[in-house]
Amino acid sequence: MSATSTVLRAESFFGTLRRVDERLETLLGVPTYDDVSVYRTADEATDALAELGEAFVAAAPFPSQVERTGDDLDGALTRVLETRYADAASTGDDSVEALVDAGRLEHHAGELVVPLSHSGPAARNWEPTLAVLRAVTEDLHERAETLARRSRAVDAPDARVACESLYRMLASLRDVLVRASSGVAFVGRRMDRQNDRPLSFAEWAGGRLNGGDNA
Amino acid sequence: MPRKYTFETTTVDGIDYVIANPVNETDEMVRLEADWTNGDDVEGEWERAVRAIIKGDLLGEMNLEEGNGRIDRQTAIETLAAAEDDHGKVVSSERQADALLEYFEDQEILRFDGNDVVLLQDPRDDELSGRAALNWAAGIEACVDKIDETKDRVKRARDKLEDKMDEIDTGSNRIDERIQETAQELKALGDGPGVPDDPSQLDESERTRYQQLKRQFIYHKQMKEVDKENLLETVEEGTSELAHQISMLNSAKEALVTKEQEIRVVAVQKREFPNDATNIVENMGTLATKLGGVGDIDEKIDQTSATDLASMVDDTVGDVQEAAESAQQTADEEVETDADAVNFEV
Repeated sequence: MSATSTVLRAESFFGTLRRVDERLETLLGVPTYDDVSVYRTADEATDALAELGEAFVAAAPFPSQVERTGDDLDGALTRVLETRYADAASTGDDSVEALVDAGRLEHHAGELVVPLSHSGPAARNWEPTLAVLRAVTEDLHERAETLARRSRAVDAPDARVACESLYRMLASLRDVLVRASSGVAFVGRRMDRQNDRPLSFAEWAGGRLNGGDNA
Repeated sequence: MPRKYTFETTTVDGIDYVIANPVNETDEMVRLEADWTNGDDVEGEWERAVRAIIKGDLLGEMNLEEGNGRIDRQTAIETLAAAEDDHGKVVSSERQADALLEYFEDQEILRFDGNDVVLLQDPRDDELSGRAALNWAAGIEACVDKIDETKDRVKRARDKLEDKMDEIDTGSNRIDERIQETAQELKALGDGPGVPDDPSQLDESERTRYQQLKRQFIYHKQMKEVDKENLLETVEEGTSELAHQISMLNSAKEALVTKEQEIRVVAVQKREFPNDATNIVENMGTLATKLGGVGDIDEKIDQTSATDLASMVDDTVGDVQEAAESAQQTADEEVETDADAVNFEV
């Protein structure tokens, strides 16, 4: 097994959330909740979230040891991620080549992927990925609230429990993402260290003070 | 600005005093202790007052342009009158502060320029006295004091973050509530008081709900676990980052102390002022603002629940990092400008 095949991809999280998104869209369009298809559709959505739960546990803790490189690629990657969530087949904009060169995007079997690693350039993909996941989840959570409210109004216990589950699961996901994105953000801000500079100064000053006046 | 006082020395009960006699006869006479101007090539008593003004004002009014550190005279008087250090109040009143500054001017410890007091005179100035040169050392000392205070606050913050890590396990938040809620709903299924042992005994509708609730329960538990791991990682990273900032503040302090000694020994005895010390003082303003920004981080941590800890760590580390970097930059500054030393007369 090659090393890169074990690397997590933003696309796998996105794929799961898109499944939830589509189910929610369907559910918000149904005329009545007193139908077995409602339960089945909501069940598919909570099943997708359960998968995401497994993936999150496997990935945790999300890396916080991320060195800043001082480029503007985070913004470009965010745009790529947003576009790809909306349309998985999208190849993104002009910045794709720069992102590939920087190791932030990779080609895999003819497909462009956003790798998520715990070190190296792809570790910096976590911050924009978590931010986009958070925005998507906040939107889904809001729509799921409408769904849960509607399901409470009818006498369909199965559909109701599945819709409530969906709503509350998205709430927990949102809570995790809100906190994780702030945690990752702080280390992303960290600057390069310059530990050696005071040391060289001390040597220099010491030399001057000991009469080795090289000024 | 015309002189307000003339000075004469006197001895009362074996103690030397300087009497500041007001030029304007309606003003009151001020008595100063004469040992304010005691000192040698390496250190002077007046530094206590200079340090107090610079430290008190690090955040505000000091103008550090063109190689001089100057401050509005009235501001200097107010700052000095309000200053306290390890030995208590530095002077007893604004009137005493005013007279003392004028006496320092008389003794070539500082200079007046219009409404300004020039505490730190450009070392390239030929008229810089040996006494005035020592003010630079006092200025650096004031900065080092600020760094020490900041370091103490950061250390307390780091200790408190470590304590908080123990609380994270027990901390309650919304995910916990959902775990509890879901557990209650699972218990409500079937006939018994607890969660049904054998879901196949439930009727079809309850079995369906059982499956949903179980899935939801496991999921919330997983989210809780992910959250906890992320939080521990953040806090751990935060504490080690703060430890790193402390060591940066330490090395900045070390470099500044070395520079201070160099001014005391090399500048005054060898009559060769380190040109680059000007850069340090030019950076003091920024440094002080950054150090001041660190604020009461340790208290903020006290008031933060485990739930909000991640963003708290974010803010804390950000503030401290800026201060530590600024301190380091100030201490580093002279490395790049070590070329010219300027001679001056003592």
